[in-house]
Amino acid sequence: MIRALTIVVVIGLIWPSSAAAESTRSAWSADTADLLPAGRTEVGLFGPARVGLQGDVELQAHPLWFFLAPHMGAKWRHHSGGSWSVASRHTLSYPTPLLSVLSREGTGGVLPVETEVPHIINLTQDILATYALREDQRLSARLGARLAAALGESTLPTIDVPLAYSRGAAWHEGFALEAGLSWSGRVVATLFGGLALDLFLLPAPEGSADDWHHAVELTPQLTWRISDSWALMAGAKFVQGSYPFGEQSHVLPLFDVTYGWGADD
Amino acid sequence: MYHESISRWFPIVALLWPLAGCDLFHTSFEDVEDAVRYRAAVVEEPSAAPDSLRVMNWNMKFGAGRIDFFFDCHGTRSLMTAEEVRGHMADISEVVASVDPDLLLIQEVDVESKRSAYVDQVQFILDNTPLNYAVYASQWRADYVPSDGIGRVNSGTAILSKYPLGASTRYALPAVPSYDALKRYFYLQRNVLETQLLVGAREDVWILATHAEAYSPDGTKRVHIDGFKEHLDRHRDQGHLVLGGGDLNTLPPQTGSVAPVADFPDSVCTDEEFIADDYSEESDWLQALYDDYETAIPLQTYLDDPQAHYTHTTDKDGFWNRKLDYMFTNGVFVPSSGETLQSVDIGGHETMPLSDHAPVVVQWEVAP
Repeated sequence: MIRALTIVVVIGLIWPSSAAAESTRSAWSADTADLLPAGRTEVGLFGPARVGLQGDVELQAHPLWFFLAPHMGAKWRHHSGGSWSVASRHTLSYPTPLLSVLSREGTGGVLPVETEVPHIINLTQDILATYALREDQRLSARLGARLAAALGESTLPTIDVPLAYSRGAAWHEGFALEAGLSWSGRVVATLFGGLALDLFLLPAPEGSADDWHHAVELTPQLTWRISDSWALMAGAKFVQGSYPFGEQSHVLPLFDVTYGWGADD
Repeated sequence: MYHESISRWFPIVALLWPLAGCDLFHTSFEDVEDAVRYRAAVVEEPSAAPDSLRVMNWNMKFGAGRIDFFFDCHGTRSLMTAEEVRGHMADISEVVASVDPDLLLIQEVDVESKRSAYVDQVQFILDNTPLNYAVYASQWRADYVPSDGIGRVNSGTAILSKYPLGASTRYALPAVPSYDALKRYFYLQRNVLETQLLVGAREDVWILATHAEAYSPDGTKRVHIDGFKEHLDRHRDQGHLVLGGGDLNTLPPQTGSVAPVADFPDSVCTDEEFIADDYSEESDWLQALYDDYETAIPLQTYLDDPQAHYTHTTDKDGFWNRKLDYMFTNGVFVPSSGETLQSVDIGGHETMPLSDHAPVVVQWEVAP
């Protein structure tokens, strides 16, 4: 992993100047109050597809997961002036079909086969504020909440693994809170960097000794913007959490490939 | 850099985990590790040095009682509620407290598993019986097992004692080589747990516990049994008094002459990989242990009346139909003290509802 990161950094440093090198946006980051320009589309191998629309709106959906967990997100820009941008992001999802698929015997059975999966309507909302330190440097903050309603009979157990538990806690408890700080910007030439710190506040299940649990995620990453069409991302996610199933710490490798087309900047 | 959905990260992790070659789910063990130590909330040690100890061995099926779990093919359950686990553990602790052993060897005890509602069962027994100290060695540990809804698991073998325990070590036994790398990564990793028993003025008394592989498509079970004996031999050769016990997942020698060795009616699994009811090729696998050590249930006693010493069935509506659980020593068991607690009539305790194994009890001489 370290060798792969080193290769990405070195190639990014020596990559010849191109139109991409003149780009002022920070590595196609989805996680600032900035929006894709109208007409621009970007698709990640693992990340969501994003489409910039007229009227300060960006749509987001994951093409691979859309049919198993139908969802749609929209980011609205509410303010853009001087160095500040403010946007809100709203994602409505229905994870029930995916959870039903994961309820199976044998390998891949994330949930027990006899699980009764309720109809879950999940609404995730964020407010994002981004401050432009320079043309290609961004500081962002966000506050968010996940609201969920589970309808019908349910024997759905929690998925007791970091990342999944944090993002699925609202399915069981009705809500969860999130906050985050991040930096994104050009490191050098076509190499962009990012560093995010995210906090998840998770209401404790009934009968728990605590009122709240929490998870903290620290995510450094580097993105090599190969051209206006292609980008490679590599990084890591450090996760520390206090969950109903105990204190846990993990380090997870990250990787993504993004393809984009249409108007840029 | 925060993200809309968990779906973004799982495929990435799944893709890079094998490439990275790291232990993301924390399933790995060192070949030799210190055992995990426990202590009862209230410690009341016996005052006098005993001449003999009452020793009990029990595979307690992680406090699942007779709930039909998916792996024995009688049902589909993967998880229990905390109420179910605490109820079963209370019943198990009641039997243990009634038998009142000085030493308890247990297999399939969960300490941090989703299937048993994260109840620490070693601590539960310590806090609900006269036992004071314990050491634990995990044989199945993973932050997450992505199969059959198992999730987080930490389950293994423990030795509990009224007397203090000294040096305690977990020795790894070989993995099943015929399983592919992914399965081996998430599968059980058998071991021998040993601890030094500090009873009276003696410092040369050692206790060993193990749980051999249940399915043996490639002979790994025999490797585990032989490995267990090698650890017993090591202590014997050093002049120690040693007792070893556990679930060896095979039948006593010569069983074929007095009882069935295959096609047990409670075995309903159809997946060949998980069929564990044909012991016909294993008739001499325990012979060396029986030859070199004294057993809690002497071989002739077993052969005279095998049904009275059966310790296992997966069928809650049936009755014990094979012997898989053993204790051996290079010392002396009090003659005729070994018994299998099968029922109120045989052993004095109704153990069938508590586990798919019956406990074995024996009196072991430890006077210098």
